[in-house]
Amino acid sequence: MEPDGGRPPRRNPSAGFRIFEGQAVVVLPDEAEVNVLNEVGARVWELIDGARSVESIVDRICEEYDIGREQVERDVRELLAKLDEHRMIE
Amino acid sequence: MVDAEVPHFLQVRKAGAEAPELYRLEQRWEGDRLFALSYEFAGWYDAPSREGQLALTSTDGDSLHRAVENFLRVVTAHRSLAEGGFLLHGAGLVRGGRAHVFFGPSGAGKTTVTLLSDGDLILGDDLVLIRRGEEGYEACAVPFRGLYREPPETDRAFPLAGCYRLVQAPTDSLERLSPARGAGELISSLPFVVENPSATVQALESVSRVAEALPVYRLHFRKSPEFWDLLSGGN
Repeated sequence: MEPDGGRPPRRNPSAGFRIFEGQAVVVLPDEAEVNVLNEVGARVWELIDGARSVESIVDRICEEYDIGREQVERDVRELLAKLDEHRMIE
Repeated sequence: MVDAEVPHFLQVRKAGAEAPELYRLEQRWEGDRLFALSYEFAGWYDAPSREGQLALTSTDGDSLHRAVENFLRVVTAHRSLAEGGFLLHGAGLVRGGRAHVFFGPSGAGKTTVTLLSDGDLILGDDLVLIRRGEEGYEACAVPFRGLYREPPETDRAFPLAGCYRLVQAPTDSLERLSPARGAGELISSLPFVVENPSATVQALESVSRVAEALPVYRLHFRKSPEFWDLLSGGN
């Protein structure tokens, strides 16, 4: 997904997070919700900065991990849809 | 403490035919001052001076007891964060001179664990304070006991051996969590503070440091004292 018709995804500004040993813990105070992201999920979370497009995030993940582009694109979009569902991005 | 001379500060919400809310507490920080209110109390706590004021709708009986304890729980939860520790929804047990903290939501088995640990020193079956000591993290009791519980058996702090997220299961097993998952489990069991954006960063920092310094596990257990055999050989 690319929220709002192609606008680059942006982290929920109220989300607190910490990344260690490749995984990310993300806390949403408004929802009183805590989520833990795996290594690739945590990297995607880091790359979400409100400026990078989804395509650009997919490019970076393809560069950094030895995974085919088709799969990366599918996984990144699935992850973004979940993050959006949990109000972690907007 | 002052008599509020009003019947309540918050009214119980009841939407249509739904059951009324179980409990509601509103809180916010304004600078160094924490404000908290619920049905029976409204109070503030000033962090630098450690002073505060509490207005109560009732000045005697169970209602007074409950309101004072709940306000102090909120203050303690926030104050412990500022000192690098945290108040955890957990049961604390001391075996071999070291504290084991079993945590999780209501119904996870905190009280059950204390009932299955005959002979061990109980720090509490609902709330335990984790704090930084001179030689590492330690756990100690807090004086909150509700209306019907016995007071804590000790006010000493004990070196923290490990934290265990309780999961009821047909067989006992111990699963060590990555620091991130451990921190995620711990922060999910912190009362009052995660709902507050300004406290979230501090809370994440505190639980992350503990999860990096000490093992955090998921303890799958059945209602039997044999789970202790999994915990460092029972010591």
